[in-house]
Amino acid sequence: MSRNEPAFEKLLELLAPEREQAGQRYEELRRGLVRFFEWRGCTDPHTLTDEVMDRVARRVTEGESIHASDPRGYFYGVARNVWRESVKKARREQAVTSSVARAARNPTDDLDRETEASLACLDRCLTGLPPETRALVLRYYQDHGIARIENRRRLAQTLTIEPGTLRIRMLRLRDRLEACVTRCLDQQGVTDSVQGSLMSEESDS
Amino acid sequence: MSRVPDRKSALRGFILGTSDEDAQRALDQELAADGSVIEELQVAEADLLDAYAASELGAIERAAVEEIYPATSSGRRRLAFARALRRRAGGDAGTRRGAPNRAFLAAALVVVAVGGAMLAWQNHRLRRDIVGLRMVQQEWKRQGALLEKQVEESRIEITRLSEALETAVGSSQAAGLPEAGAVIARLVLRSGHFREAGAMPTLELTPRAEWVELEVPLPVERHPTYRLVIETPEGKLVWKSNPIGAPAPRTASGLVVRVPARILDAGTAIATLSGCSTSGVEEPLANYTFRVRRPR
Repeated sequence: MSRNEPAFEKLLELLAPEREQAGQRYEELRRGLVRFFEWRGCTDPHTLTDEVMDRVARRVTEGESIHASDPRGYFYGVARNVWRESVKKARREQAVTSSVARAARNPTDDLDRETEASLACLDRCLTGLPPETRALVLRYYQDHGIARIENRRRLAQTLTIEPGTLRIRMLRLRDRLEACVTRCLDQQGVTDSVQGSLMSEESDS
Repeated sequence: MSRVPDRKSALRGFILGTSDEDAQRALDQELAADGSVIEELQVAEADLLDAYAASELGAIERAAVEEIYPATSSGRRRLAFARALRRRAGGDAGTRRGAPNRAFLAAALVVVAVGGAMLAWQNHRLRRDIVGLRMVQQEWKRQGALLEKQVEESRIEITRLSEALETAVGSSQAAGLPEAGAVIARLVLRSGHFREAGAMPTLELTPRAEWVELEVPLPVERHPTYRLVIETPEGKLVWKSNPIGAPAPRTASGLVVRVPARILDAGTAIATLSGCSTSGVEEPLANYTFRVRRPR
């Protein structure tokens, strides 16, 4: 798809007036929608997320106005409908769905293997980060329990930002890192070809 | 003070699907009204997975995580990523020396380039295309299987027809197809030895005779094809047929072989009938001695 595809442009306009900010929100929205479907136990959250994007893009292109203080809420409303439909469809195809679910719900053996592969990819992705960013990530995620809470509080103090702000920023950094790892795993052909967000970690460096 | 734990429980319950229906619906409505709630949920999820990776979850939440996340490839990756991050951060104690300064943090938290969004959008379109292509591929596979079946059936039919044709050609080549109006002599052969020359089947060949039809009795045990060889009593080959298809069991009691009259000289000849198995092995079945007479 070209950069000026009308549907995409309309979506971006919906998310934010400024284009770069809209692009960032689009990515965040996608990740959120994927999680939304995952939390509901959907076996193919990416396809359902695509469906949400398609529906909203179609409605906006057809001229529908979306009046909401935060347009993301509109996407989640659509996502809920998409989810309901998928549940109905799954009920109709219960036999097939249950067999697919059974097949999908036996991957615990893969988890250790995937963790090892993720670790190798994570090292690569961390190497691609500036040293200070790498140190920040590793410090944020170290320690256990109370010690970790205290560690993060001190970190926020050092940076003179609110703990909540630090959490959100670290979430975005974590998403970025995770996207890098996902891409790395895809390149190595680890597990099936789920394509996560294809954000570039180079944008961090 | 109890709001934070309640909120945390509500968010985790929403993520893990362990909250009751009312709580689920309430958060759904909250999410639809305020999209920023998703960030709160995502932070809660990151904390949840970190806690899982650090073995800090209770049994119920741990079981729920292990039920939900490994069920999808993206969920499994997220879980694997949390474990990897935990291991790396836990193992890198050396990195604790000194907190990063603010400038470094600012650099670390540089926001996303818009190119990432384009990639994500393209990814979305490609994924949709892939779904479409997979459907086309499945249809092609189905049609391919159908075609393969038809091809196999056609191949069997062709093989059958080829064999029938070969047999027919063999028969016609063996006998040679006489032209219309050709003069044909006929002799029924009998097996056995003949002490008297007069008892031997005799073929009278006039100069006008162009073809000879030799009718050979077939043994009870049938073969797919047969071959007839004519030799002199001294063993000199006179004529050899191509494979001849067996006649239909109910329509013929003997095999009729057409032989060009010109190759048969006056005198005694021995016809040997062989049966050919499907593997091509020839088995001699019977000898037939007959006499050829050519009146001057």
